[in-house]
Amino acid sequence: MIQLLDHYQAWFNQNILTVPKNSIIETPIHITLSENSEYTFNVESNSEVTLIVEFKASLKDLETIVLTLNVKQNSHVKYVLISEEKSFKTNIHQSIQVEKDANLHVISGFLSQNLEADLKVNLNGENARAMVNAIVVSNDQQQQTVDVHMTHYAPRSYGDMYNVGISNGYGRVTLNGIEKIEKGMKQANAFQTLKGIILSDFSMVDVNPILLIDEYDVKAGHGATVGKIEEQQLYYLQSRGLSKIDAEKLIIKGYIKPILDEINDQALVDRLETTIYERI
Amino acid sequence: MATLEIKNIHVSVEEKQILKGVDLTVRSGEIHAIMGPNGTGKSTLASALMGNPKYEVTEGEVILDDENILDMEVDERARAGLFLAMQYPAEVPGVTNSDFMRQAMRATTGKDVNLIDFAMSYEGAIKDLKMREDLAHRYLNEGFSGGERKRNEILQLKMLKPKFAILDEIDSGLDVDALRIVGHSVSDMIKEDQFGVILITHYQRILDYIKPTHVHIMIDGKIVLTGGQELIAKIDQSGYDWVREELGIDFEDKEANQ
Repeated sequence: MIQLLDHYQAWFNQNILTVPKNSIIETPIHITLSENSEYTFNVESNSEVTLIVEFKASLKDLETIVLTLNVKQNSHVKYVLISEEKSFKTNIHQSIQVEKDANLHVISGFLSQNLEADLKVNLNGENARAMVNAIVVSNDQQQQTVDVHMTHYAPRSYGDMYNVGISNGYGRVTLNGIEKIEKGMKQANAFQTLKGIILSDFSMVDVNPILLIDEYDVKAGHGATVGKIEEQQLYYLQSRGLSKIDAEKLIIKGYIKPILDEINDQALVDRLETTIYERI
Repeated sequence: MATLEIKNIHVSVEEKQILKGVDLTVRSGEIHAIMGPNGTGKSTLASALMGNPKYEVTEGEVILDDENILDMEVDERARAGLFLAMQYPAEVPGVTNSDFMRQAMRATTGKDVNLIDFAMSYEGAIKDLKMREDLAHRYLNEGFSGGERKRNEILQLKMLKPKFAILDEIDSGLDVDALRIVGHSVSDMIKEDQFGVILITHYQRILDYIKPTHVHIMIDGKIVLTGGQELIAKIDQSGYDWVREELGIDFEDKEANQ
C-alpha cells in the first residue's frame, strides 16, 4: 500500500506513481510503504522532484520490497529511501534507470535490523548523472549488506557513490560498490568512496570497491577505508573538554552529516540521527 | 589564584624514557618559557600533561589546585582548566569549527551557550586573529595550512579561557606577520584573563611578544637551568653549548646532528 498526500493521488495508479512531464515540485513528495510488494516511480521528462520513500515495517520475519525508479530525459530527481528500524529483516531490491541529461541523487538510510539491499543504477543516456549516498548502521547481532551497482551504458555519463557503514556491538556490515563502464562509453566518469567505521572489538565492516572498465577514454577512481576512530582525533576533541562518547559521536556525525544535510526534511533527519546515535 | 605543580615526572614514549624527572610550579598570571634544543623532551612534557595516549607517565604527579590530574581522563583535565595548543592538531572532516567550539564551551563551562552570544564572540575572535571569515563553517583543521592550524589553536584558547595554557611551539609554521598577530593576541589574553602559561619554544622570536616571567632550559629530559629573561639573550647569542660547559652536562644536540 502506498500512502501519500491527497494532492498527488491523481498521479497514483495501482502500485505506480507517475510524475507528469514538465512538473517542477518544490516540496518533497512523501511516500510511505507498508507491505511487501512492488512499486514503480516514474518521473517523466523535464521535471524536478524530491521523493522521500519510507519503508515502515510490520514486524514480520522477512519483508521484501522491489522498487523501480525511472528518471526520464532532462529530469532532476532527489530520491531518499529510508528503511525503518523496527523491521527485523528486510530485503530491498531497487533498480533505477537514468536517461539522457537527467540528474539523480540517491540518499539511502538503511536502519532495518537485518538487511540485504541491492541498488542497480543504469546510466542509459548521454550526460546522465547519478550520485548515490548510503548510510548503514549496525549494532548487537545485526547483519547488513548493501550492494550498489552502477553501469554506464552511455558516453559522457557520470556516476559517483559515497557510502558509509558503521558497526557496533557484534554488528556486521558489508558494503559492495561495483561500477562498470561498457566499451565505447567514452568520457564517462566513475567514482566511488566506501568508508567503514568499527566501534567495538567484535564488530566488522567489510568494504569491496570494484571498478570494471572496458574503455580507455574515461575518468575513474575509487577509495575504501575501514578502521576504528582515530585515536589522535579523539584525543584532540577530548582535550577541549568533550567526553569520549561525545567526541566519538561528533566524529561519526562528521561522516554522515554531509549526507543527511541533503535530505530536505528536518523532522526526518532528526529521527534518523536519533536512531543512529542510539546504535553507536 | 590557581597553581599547577609538576612534581618529578618521568615520561616514556614507546618504552623509551624521554622525561627523567621534571619539577615545575606555575601560578596564575605567570609565563614560563621552556627552551632547549630539539629532541630534549619539551613537547613530551606538553603532551604528557594533557594526557596524549601515546605518552606514558611512569613516575611523579601533577597537581592542579589539590587534584592529581594524572588520575584524570583527557577531557576531565580540560574541564579542570588545562588547555594545550598543539603542535600537530588533528583534522576532523565533516565537523565545523563552530559546532565543535560550541560543544567544547558547553563541556568546559557546564552551561548551555547562547547561540547568538557565541556567534558574536566567535566572529570577534576570528577577526582579532585575522583569520578567514568563513572559518566557523569550515571543517575542523581540514585543508588548513600549518599557520592556520596554529591560529585556530589560539582562537580556541581565546574562547575556552582555561586556568592554564600550554603552548607547544605555536611559533613554528608562522610567518613574521602571523607571529606578531598571534604573539600580541596571546599577550593581551594573559593580561586580561590572568591564566598561567607554559610556553614551549626553541626560537626566541615569539618571546619578543610574550614576555616570560620565568625561563627554563630543558636538556635531556630535565630542567637544568632556571632564570629570567637574561637567559633568552644569552641563548640568542650563544645557543645552548655554554649551558653544557657551565653545568658540565654532556648532551647530544639532536638539532645539530640532523
